[in-house]
Amino acid sequence: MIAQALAAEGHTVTILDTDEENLRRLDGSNDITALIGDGILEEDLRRAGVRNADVFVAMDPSDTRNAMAAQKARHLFNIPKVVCYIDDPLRQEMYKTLGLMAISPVQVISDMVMEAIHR
Amino acid sequence: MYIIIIGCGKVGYHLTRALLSAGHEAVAIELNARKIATVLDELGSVAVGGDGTEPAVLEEAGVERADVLIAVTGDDEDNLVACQVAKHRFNVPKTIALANNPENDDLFKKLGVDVVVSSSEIILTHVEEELPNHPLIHMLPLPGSVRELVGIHIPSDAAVVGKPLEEVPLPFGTMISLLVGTDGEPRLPINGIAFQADDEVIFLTTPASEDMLLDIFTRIE
Repeated sequence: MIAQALAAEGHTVTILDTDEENLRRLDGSNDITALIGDGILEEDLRRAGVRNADVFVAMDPSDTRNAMAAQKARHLFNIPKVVCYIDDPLRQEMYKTLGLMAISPVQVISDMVMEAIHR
Repeated sequence: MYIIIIGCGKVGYHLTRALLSAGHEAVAIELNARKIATVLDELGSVAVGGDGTEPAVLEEAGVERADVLIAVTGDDEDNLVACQVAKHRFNVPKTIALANNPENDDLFKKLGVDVVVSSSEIILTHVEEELPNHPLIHMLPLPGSVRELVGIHIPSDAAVVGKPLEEVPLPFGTMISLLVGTDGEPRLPINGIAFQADDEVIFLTTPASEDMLLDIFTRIE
């Protein structure tokens, strides 16, 4: 969804996934380059053109894989904006202090619920 | 010392056992129930079930009073995150991580892991040294610097044989520490001393200079 929304805004989007099945769901979106590869491996990141990227988004279901991919993007490839999905709120808070834009769905939803209650 | 080990596969298990028998207090954190059962059976109650990359699990294992955390799972991303959580959230003084993939070595160091152990590099180095006629031996890395001690065996037909020390240029940052002749007699590297066939020469150098150094001392002309 994020890839499609970004492509719709006119950005050039490349998506990297180890599972071919996930990439098949993108069929029909001609503006997105889909590659089979592992986002924590430098060679695969390079193949996806990470050197020229302005934004890097790590959205794997695994927190630790996201943390590693995001930190490679940030510290090895110097991508200016790095966003990553960190489910565990304690780890999310830590990675935020380490300078990553870490987003925890648990945190986002609980903030929304709290807001709805206090409204 | 109180030491927490993340990952109780072969490396983690033997590490835990060795640390316990050396008199340390050690606890292993492991996700796999079967592996935990093995530790509990054979080593006593020194294992905690759970994901060692999660702050809550680490807290349960008493990470706040840990002196060292060692992450040796088969997944580099888990080893990295466990060390970062230990260091940045719980201020564990020393973190050690296994890098299964050698490409992660530098990243781990850059991100603050205190000691990075690169298993494939270690095995590769040993394999290279065991191969016949490998003339460069890694003797000692110097902690806290990029320098190391290496030894080179001078082949009897090398171009440097018979040349005095001052006539052989060395790579930048490299120094000769000692020469040892075939009879085992050491010679200090002072001007006027010449290299002899089958000398062992001990150098202080950097990994980046190794290839050049090997070429200078083993080239045949």
